[in-house]
Amino acid sequence: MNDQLLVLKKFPLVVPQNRDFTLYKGFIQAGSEEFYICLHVPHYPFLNDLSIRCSWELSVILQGHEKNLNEWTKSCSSLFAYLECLQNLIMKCLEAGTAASLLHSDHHLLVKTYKHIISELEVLGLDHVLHVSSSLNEVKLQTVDQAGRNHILNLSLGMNYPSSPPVIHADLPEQLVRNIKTGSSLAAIYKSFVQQVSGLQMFWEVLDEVDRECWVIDPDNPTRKDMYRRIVIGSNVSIQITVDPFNATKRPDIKFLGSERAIIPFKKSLTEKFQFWSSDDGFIQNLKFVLGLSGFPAAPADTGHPQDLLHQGECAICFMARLEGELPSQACDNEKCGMLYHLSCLFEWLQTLPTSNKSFNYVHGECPNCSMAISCPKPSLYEN
Amino acid sequence: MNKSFRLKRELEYITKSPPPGISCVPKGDSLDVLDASIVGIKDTPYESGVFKIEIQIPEKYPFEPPCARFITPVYHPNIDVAGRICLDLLRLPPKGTWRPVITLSGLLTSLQMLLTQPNPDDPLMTEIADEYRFNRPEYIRKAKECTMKHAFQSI
Repeated sequence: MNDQLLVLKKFPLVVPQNRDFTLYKGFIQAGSEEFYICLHVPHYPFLNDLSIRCSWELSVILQGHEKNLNEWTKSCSSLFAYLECLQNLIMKCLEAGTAASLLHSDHHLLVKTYKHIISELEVLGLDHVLHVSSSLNEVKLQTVDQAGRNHILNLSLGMNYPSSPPVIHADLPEQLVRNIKTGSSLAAIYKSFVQQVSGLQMFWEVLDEVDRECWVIDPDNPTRKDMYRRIVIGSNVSIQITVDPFNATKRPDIKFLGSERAIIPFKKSLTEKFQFWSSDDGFIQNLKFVLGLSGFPAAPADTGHPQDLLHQGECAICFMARLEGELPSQACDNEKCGMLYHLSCLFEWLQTLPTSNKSFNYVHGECPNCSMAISCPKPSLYEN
Repeated sequence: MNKSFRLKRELEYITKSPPPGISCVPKGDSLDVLDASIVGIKDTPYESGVFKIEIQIPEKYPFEPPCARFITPVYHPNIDVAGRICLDLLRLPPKGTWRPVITLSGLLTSLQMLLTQPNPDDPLMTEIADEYRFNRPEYIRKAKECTMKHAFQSI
């Protein structure tokens, strides 16, 4: 077979892998360089559906030429012609030089960066390292504080590390994350992080006490960075306290939220007693004292899982499942919405709107939730 | 339609898991007038202020939007000296965008957002809107001053 002979003569390193000549593996030469390729020619001797896999270096060189490669599968009359085109292209790219130099400098730089990161991690001590991503660009470091609380420092190392500093994420109050020095090395950053953590012991002790003793309604699941707590202090009244991370035992900022009437006695007590807040006593004890409370209301047992406002199967307008015995029968057809409505609720809303369209016994309008078209029959049709 | 059932459910929800910096409770014994407050968001001229809002629930709620009014004076392009609020969410279509699936919790969160992001293209207070557009530092100064004077809880 002529084509195969030509291939063998000019590309001796591209070796057929089967008797049908549909699979080739080997190396294609271009100048002084050789690149690994694997060709799949499913309909040999025809070139349609031809596919190439190649080494990473060659794929970088060929980047942007995918269109050519594809066209040649149509324009070339034989595999030999195709390989010649490919070889010429590689030569041209190499001569232009840009791809190759880019390739080598990048390569070199990456290896240098990796080596640098690994040596820094070794200096830091691997027992502090919780996780390193496979491309070394995400590093998680861990420390355990005096009270046994775990703290994690997330570092994102860019391509240019160490010339550009890593991005730091940590579950600490914002201003303290900013205090972490991004300076010299991973070990120095870690040291600075541990320092910040140890300076916050009193802060977390106070907040842990608040979380233990009080019914906290916001944040839902407090994290180490949250400086505020919304606490229920009576029926219809809550306070939002903000603890100073640098001086946790002093009187926090206190805001009252709730009905004016319910707030008055607490506010009065605070006005009289705030100056007697003593940093030597416990935080909760102080808080009870200035608010004139004997104890904080406990969280009701069922708030373990905050309930949804609208439960499964309820009408999104009246929030009830059964309205005068009827279950919600109208559903929005939009899959992503799927809201349920009672016939009478939806009808009443749609006919309130001048934009809805009434025709015969139907009213056509928009779903109150997602604004997709929705129609609703007149409820009287269903009476008796 | 059972208005009080829905209202009770909404109030219970706000009490147990309120959105950050928001509260809403009945003013008296009836559920027709509510006392709400929102805490101004950090890094805005309203930061740390507690703003009282009175909410009136209309007879046809939720087919008609609640009527909300700031009790605490606010310096803001979309809130006038009487505390009236210009927000499309508070009006029925076609002029507004009220829909019966909007909840009190959502409404109050929107009001908190309105403080953060005024809409000078639909102002109630044209002078403040112009100031907001063309002399932002002055707007910020006045809004902060107003917040300190009226919205700070003095002890």
